[in-house]
Amino acid sequence: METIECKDVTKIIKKNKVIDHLSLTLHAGQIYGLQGINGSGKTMLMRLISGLIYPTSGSIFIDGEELGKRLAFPKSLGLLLENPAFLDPYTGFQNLHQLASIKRLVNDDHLREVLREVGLNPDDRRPYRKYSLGMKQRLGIAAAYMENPDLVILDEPTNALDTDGIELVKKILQAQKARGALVLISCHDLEILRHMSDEIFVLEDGHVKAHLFAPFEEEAS
Amino acid sequence: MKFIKLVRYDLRHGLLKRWKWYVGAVLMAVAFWLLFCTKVASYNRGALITGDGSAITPSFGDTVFFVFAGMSEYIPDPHQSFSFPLIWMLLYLVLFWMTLEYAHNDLTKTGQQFLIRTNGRMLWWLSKCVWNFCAVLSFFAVIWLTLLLLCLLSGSPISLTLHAPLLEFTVPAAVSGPGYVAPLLFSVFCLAPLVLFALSMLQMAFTLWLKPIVSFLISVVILVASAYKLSPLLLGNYAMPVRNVIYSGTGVTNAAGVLLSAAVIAAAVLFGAVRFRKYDVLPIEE
Repeated sequence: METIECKDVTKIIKKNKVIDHLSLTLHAGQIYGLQGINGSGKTMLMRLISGLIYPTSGSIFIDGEELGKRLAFPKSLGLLLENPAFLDPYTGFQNLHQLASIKRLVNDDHLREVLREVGLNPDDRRPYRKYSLGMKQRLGIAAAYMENPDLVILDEPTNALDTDGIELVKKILQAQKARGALVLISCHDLEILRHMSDEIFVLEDGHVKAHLFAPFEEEAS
Repeated sequence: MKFIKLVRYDLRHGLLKRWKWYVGAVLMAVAFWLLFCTKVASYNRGALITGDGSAITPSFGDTVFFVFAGMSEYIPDPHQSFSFPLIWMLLYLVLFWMTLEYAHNDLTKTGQQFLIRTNGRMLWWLSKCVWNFCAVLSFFAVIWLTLLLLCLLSGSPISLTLHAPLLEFTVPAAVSGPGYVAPLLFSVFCLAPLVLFALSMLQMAFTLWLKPIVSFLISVVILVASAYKLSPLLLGNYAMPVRNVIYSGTGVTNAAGVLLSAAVIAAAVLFGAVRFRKYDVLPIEE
């Protein structure tokens, strides 16, 4: 996957315009940050790009193929949206194994390695329901990138993480970028985003208020 | 392969991991069987059934028929108020509740991760349809097997023979002759699960437009309306063997029931699929 193109995208949910005539282009091998206050449209934009919802008007193209027309979802997508949701009675490893069994792109050894990378013990026998918030978040991040997808979308990945956890996320994102993935993350904290992203889109009321480039000199969007 | 994996996931997490529902079904079956036994004992004791003082031992067929019978046609009468067929209603309301939220909840939780990995929305929807069928069938199977076990333990004959005089007292209605038992058994063992699958599919499809609780209320309305009025257009009638034309003489036919159920199932699968192609997958609070 090379590019994602949002063209004049508007999304209306229950008469609320959650995304308002938004246009942007994203390229592979870059880390993009979405910043904005609650309700600014970060998560909705991520849902749109991940194909979980479709635009009311406008279009989203993944390498020229329109989402919702020829393409239901991006072909290679790893996703963490809001709170991670896994099967309560399963361990972290079992949850990843269950998800990975759909595409069978990676083996169990790789899943164990990914769990170690996010700071979880692959042999931990505790079920997911007994995980702390931070552990759940780490497992959610692991699920998003375990299959080395072309597109990694992480909504507030630093939630519930301590300083070490935030550094870990940064390291993981850099590794994803290095292998050529397009990474899209959201965070309400601009400072954290500055440390992680190559470009930042500041959202307000569902549209791009500012487009910042590393080292983040603001320019008109 | 992806579809098979999705179905396996749904059967494991939507059925096996929700075993408590089946415990509830077993308890209901036991309660209904006890009720039936009480009625049979009472009528046998008073020699009300045969008139000649000899008792009737109910068969497995009698027991199942009693549980799934429903109610005979209600003809509005100022001197007789409408009373719900409680066993029949309770049984199916539990089934509707059991199949209500799984698909909807799955979509707002772990199911999202499966959805994006299948690269298509149709597989997810079709998998839920298969799950729904299996959920309805397994619910009926649990009830049937529980009743079978209870009949075995109590020494009741394991046969599908229907004793008309016994049923006449336990499920008041006109009774057919023994030569017409096969269509009635079809109504109990085939048509009722088919009708309930159709209604359950309808309910699941409605959750793509409405809140699950509203879909459930629609199912309740269909059941109540079916109990209140004998009409070939109210699907619930076909799930009441005592409203079968073979049993009551003026009721609904198995053929119409099969056709209407098949039409409703096809419509629910089709419209659900069309709707789900453009469905917004949002958290519950949205």
